[in-house]
Amino acid sequence: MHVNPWFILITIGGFIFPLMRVLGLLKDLDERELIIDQISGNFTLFFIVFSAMFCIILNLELKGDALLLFILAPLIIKSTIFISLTYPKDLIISYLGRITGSLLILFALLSHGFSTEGLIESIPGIIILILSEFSKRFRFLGIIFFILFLLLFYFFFRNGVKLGLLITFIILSAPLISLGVISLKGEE
Amino acid sequence: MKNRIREYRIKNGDITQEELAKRVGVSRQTIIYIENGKFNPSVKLALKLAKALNCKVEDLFELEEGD
Repeated sequence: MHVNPWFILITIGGFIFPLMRVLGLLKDLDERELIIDQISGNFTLFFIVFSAMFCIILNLELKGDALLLFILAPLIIKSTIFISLTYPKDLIISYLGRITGSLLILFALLSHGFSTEGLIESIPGIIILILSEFSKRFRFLGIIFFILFLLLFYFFFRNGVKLGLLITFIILSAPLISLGVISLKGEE
Repeated sequence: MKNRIREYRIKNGDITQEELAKRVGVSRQTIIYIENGKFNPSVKLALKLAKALNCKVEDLFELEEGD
């Protein structure tokens, strides 16, 4: 049985912090963070329920990679919501922007190597990295994250909805929307 | 709910939000949210804050009209 290593990496990433807290290796969440943890969990639950309903109504048969939708997407959504509500603005932008941008670049380079194709496919990741750093200072740049989200939507679904692309879309769109909203938000 | 945490931080030798957060065992962001009235602490946390700032809970927090 072959398991995609990225799948393992992201799953571990999603559970490593809660596990470290249970083992006492990391400080527990304070009361505000616990409430946010609950809120982000509820949103994620709604997402899973609506996704399942969507699949049932459309009579979609989920196989292989499509089943990853119900594992990766909730992990990404919960983490994104939790980070967005817990940390200060600059730290959120740094975490989300650097992780999203770096992952995109990594995927591009791993898929195509250091070729022209790889470098071209790295461009969105590079844009997100640069934009994230500048949006900490210039709020209006947050609009560009929404534009990137719309472009992503167009390119992913212009030929119809494919489950494999839907997974990638959800994984990328959650951080993009959060980055847009956080960037445009005023200082606390 | 109104609070005077910032005022009492200054009275107690200008303690920083970070320092106060460490003393009561929460994150600095939580102290910021409490000071800005965006988060109401539990009774336990309110008591810890009062103890850390050498005052009574009633000195730190006050109900507003409509609360």
